[in-house]
Amino acid sequence: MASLSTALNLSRSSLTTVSGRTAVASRNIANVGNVDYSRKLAVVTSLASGSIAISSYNRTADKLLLDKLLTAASNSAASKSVLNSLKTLSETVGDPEQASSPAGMMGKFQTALHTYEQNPSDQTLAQNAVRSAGDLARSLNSATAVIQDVRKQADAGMSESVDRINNLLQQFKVANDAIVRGSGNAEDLAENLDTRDKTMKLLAEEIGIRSVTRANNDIALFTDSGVTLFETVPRTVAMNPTATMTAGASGNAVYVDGVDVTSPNSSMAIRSGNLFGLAKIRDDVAVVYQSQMDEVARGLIEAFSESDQSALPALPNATGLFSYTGSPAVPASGVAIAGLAGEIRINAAVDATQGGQASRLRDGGINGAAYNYNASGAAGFSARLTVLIDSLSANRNFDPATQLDAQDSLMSFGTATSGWLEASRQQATSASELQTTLKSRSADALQRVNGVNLDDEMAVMLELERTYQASARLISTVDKMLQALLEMTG
Amino acid sequence: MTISTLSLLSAPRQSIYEAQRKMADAQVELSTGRHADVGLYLGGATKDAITLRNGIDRNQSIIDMNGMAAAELDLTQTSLSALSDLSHQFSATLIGARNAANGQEVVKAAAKSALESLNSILNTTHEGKHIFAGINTDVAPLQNYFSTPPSSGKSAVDAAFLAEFGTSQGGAGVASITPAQMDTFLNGNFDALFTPAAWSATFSTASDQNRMARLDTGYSTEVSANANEVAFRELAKAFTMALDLGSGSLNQATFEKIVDKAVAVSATAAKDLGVIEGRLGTAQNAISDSTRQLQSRNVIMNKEVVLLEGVDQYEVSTRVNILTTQLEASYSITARINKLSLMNYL
Repeated sequence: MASLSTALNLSRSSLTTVSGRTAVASRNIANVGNVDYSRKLAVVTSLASGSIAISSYNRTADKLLLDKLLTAASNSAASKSVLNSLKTLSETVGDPEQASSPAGMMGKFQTALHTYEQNPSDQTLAQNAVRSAGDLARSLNSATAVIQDVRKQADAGMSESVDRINNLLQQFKVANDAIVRGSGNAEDLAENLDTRDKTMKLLAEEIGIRSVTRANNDIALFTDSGVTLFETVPRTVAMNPTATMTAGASGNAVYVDGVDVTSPNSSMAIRSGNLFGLAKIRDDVAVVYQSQMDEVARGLIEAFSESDQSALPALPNATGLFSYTGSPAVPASGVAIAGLAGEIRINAAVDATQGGQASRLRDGGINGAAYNYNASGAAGFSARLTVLIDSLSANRNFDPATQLDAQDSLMSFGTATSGWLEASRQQATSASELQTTLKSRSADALQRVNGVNLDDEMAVMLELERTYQASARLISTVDKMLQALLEMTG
Repeated sequence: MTISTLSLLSAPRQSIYEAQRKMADAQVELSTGRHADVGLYLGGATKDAITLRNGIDRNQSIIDMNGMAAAELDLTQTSLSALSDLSHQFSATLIGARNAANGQEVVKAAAKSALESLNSILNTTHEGKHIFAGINTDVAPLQNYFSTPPSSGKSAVDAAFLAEFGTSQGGAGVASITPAQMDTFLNGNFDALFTPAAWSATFSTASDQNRMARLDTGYSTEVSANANEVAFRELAKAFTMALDLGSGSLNQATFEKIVDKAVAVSATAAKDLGVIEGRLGTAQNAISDSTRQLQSRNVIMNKEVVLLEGVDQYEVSTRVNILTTQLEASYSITARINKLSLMNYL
């Protein structure tokens, strides 16, 4: 008798196991489109009595592949945010065909000066030259506005990123705590592991992270520079956003657990993630580009400044066609003045729309009679214009902080700024393409390990269906046998 | 190793997205003949593209300006040859009238008309600029000698005459001026009226400085003659002496002295005009050389721009073909993969 009831029990345990495995398979199938889901496997164990039961749920995961994906995600996010900002900055260069860049405007201005030089008595040409000088000054002004806007957006982006990081660290704590405590049933544990991995992927996009697994599957997180982000509890990530970004003003650094992680000179500076990319734009790329614009502006102010034309010159050189807030003092050569490109203006004394005379471009005397180059007042006087045109092509000193040639002509320096920016964008584009490919490769590799294959799950379902049928048949057979026995004894 | 259904399905989607993006770029490139994103394609070489385009614009403006300078020079040359003819005719008239009965009247009339011609030629304007005014282009270089009230030139001549001979040109004492006295005056105080300094003070408002034209980025040349140059002063001197030193009332010997001197001065002037003609001819050559050079340079620079920014149309259309094939393949693979599921066979 004992053997028949054993068979019945075995079949029953088989039915329970099948329904448990079916539940796992359907959960797998339900998550076929979820990239953050890891395929679950029910682990079936034979008990001493010969019956079977689901002892635990396995989760396919690969720590090595996940770490690779995290690194790739950080690098990809960093290069993407650098590229996005560079794309905005490249609006200041535009298509060379349109000549809308400061360098192109400078070319137009030079051409207008050439035309005026050949016809110095022509008022229309004088006004035309002054107008293109105005266009040039405005293109520098608007480039400054674009650069500072990019810096502002990067600053705001960093602040948002910091908020997201804090948020994610909280979520990470919830999942990690649950895993460490081992609370809940086996299925919940697997879900928490999924959540924790997903949180790490999201974190890695914001900031480069390294994870260390410890006892009880506890994970501690560090930035890629080694600062603790999470260890049992989340550490504070803090940053004060800057309301208005001006040239020359540096934004605030991001502090993780009290350590500066974004200043370029910090020994614990992070090296990847969205936060790194944004900080690089805000504190490095945009700052250098701004200094290039500032140097173009300073070069123009310097080239068009006037000197005392008296027989015994006593007055200092003074700013001419181009002026700025420090006018009439001429800025020192070879030293960038932060934000000068945003301030450069056409001197009102030359601008007909502001009551000035365009012919002062030809004669000088913007700063008073002592600075008049055309003593005789001849309408065909072109010597000053010749000097001005030549000064555009003459070598002068530029601030080495611009990362361009320290000795160059104004024209060549102007075009070099466009070249520098487009070269940066080209490099960032290929870097971003490479990092995106690497990321999708890593994601793919991880997917191959922990992703769900629909066909596979369907095959499992078929197998389960057959097992279920066989177990059911067994139960009904045993039932029939018992029935026969009962009839015989009855 | 299994492959996840998600990666299997998303793989062709990625490549379709890529191909479509490239296709859009290729279409822009086909229609414009330039790279879709020139700055991105060129990178650091954007500097060269902008420099080339600036250079082309600048060369073109110099070419345009050369055209203007050439027109001005043509006009100047025409004027100079007119002056040269004038001086020859004047000399011929003087020589013919030297011993003629009404010689003094003939000479006076010829001198008057010659001086008026000189005045009008040196005051020629071209597009609002006085071409013989040097850089002082907005003022007519010569005052009208015959104006009322008397021009400063006329007053200076009258004063010098009165100081020398104690009589005005129409006075009774004129007939008694000896050839020797006249010779002293012509080479002395009268000559002094036509030195560069005196000429600029009394007769001319022109600037000594000639206008310059930029023939290339760093090289300019003089492209004008100014009314202060020796040839014009000599012409004025010859015409004035024949006109206004008492002609009509002089004794024959003194009159002959003036005629001889005027013919000699006029001949020198004609020679000096030739020097100016030669100088401006050189400038004309330089301008047409410059225009030719800049034009051919622009042709080359335009080609360089196309090389930098342009695309090979054949290459692009081949690329479009390849992309089309690739897209079609991707579409059909996607459709097939979607059909490939165990579900469809159970």
